[in-house]
Amino acid sequence: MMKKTLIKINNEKAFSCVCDGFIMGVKRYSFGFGKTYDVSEIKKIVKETKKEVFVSLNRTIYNWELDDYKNVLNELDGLGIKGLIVGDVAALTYDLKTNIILDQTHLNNSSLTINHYYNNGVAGVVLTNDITKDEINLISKNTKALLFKQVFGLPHLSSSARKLISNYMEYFNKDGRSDHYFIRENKKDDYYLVKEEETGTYIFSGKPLNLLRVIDELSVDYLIIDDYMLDGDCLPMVAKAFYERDLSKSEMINEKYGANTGFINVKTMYKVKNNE
Amino acid sequence: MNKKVELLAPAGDLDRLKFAIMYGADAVYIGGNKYSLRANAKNFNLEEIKEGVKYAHENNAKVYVAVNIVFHDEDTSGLGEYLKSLYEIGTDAVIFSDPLVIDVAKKWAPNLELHLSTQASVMNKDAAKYYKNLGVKRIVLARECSKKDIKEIIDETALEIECFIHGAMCTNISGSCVLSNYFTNRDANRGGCCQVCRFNFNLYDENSALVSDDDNFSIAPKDLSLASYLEEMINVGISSFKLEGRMRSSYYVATTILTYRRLIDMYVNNLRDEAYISRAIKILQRCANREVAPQFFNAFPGKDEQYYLGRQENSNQDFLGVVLGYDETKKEIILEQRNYFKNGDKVTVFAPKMDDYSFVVDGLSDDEGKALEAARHPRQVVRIRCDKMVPVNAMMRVNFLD
Repeated sequence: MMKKTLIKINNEKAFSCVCDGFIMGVKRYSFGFGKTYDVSEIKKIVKETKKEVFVSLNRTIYNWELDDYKNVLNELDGLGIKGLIVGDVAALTYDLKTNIILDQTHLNNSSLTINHYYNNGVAGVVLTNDITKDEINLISKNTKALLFKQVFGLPHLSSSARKLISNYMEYFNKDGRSDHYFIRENKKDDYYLVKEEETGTYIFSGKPLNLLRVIDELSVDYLIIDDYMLDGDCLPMVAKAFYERDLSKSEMINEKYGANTGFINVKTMYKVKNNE
Repeated sequence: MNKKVELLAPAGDLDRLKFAIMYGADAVYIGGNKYSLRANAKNFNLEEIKEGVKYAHENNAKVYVAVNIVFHDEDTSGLGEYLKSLYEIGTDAVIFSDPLVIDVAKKWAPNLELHLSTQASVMNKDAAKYYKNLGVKRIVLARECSKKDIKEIIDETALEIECFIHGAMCTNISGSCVLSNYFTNRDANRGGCCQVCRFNFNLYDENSALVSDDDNFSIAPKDLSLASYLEEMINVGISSFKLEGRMRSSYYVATTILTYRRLIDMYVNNLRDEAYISRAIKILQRCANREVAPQFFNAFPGKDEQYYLGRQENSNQDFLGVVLGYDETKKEIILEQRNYFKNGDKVTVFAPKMDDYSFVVDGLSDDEGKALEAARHPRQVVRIRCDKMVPVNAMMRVNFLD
């Protein structure tokens, strides 16, 4: 299967990376992006680049935002972008010509679920990071939907509508000026990244995913590379390694970022009682 | 007002299902052994669901079965047959989050009523319309919806809308959290959630400097209670008022359901009683083991809706026992004990079709009539002198109100 490499744009420099296309965030409707754009900026970039451009509105939408959200989608619809990546099924009820790619972070884990959306107008889905390589390949066998998979970057763990950092700072009368934070349990080694944005608070794994070693075994259409909240200086090297399938760089990436392969070879437990 | 609204109770097993209905629930929701988001609960097998449905229908109540996991391919085998069986035994609806259930139900049990779980996090009218167009009858809205959102969704979609009114809350948008997967390898969206949002953490800034006082950083929310907003919720047009807690005790279910039953009936029948409202709020607060807040319904939650007391939870021994019978000759309650009490203690007996009755224990004996100073042993059957006849399955608690 021919796989294309997409770079998530977290800063302007990322546009110069070797890849097949980009994923751009939209002001107000995207989370987990180092930089977001308004429609006119996206329009300009789409005109200038020969690469595929996907635009992500990956957030769940409040009722009061719907009119503006719909307007933004309609404006984007005429720009000739390759796909609109949406997080809310509200977008599936609109008459949009652009391919809709569904990204519900953790909800699309099975062939039947993905086929449900495919049969209801969705062209593709961003797969969760919570399933294994075997599960991904089984889904690929069973669906015609385009499959997108994050192969590098910090996995998203949770989204809260609440201002979890600001609330804590206010409650304990602390001065919080950090761009982002980390949490760690007592006596545990693992850190997790916490980022409060205007739209809520998001928690990411403290260690990035690096699936370079397994990408040839993954039956997906698009590989997503995301340096959100990571040292961006290495992004060109990482992008090139994935684009050229240069597996020899895998260890270097692991060492540089403390990366791992997440759940790609590890099943999560389901019925706790049976497994304990 | 006089609007019909449904009071929907959680039931972790058949015993609690019966108590919930006895104490005033119009409907209960339960989990089967498969496909339910409380993998660690006792849950129901098909025979038990059948018995629960029979009991519910005989008492004019409904049973909804949660089929609300986010499916992986390995979970889907047998789902069609399961949905068909649920329909055949008279289940009133299934609560699902994964849309594959819509397609499977269409094939195997086309007349099975479908309710969309809060796990799908519907927060707007257009998302609601997506599901309505696919035949979904009811939506349990995301707990992040405000009163204004809820009203507009109801007005624009004419769907039945179900909202949580009481119980524990996720701090994250339901379905959008896999903290449990990463912290413990337990799959949050398949029933294994270990509630990482209740943990305490050390908080560090971007330069790795410790910000928190030791590990007092928490993302935990207070529990939800909308007891003070019921009238507004009824007026908005919400169809079903849901209590969280399939793993809670029969005492918790009976107390909360009875209290909400009385509050709802009071508002629906325009019989506002400030004294009862005040008592009801106290009962609900006492029954909860954590602080409560209205969360997103009336305003966007801030610091006061967060919970910073760590895993500290108030537990009490208020539940003293279940009434097994009443000896009219001797004027004695026959009670199965749950917590320690003694002569001289102030207690209250409560049951669905009687006013709460409070008295001081004065005359306590074992089942054979031997006098006791105290009821010390769990499940011990004791007799308590009481002039008022109380019904079987009434409950006795500490009198914490007077």
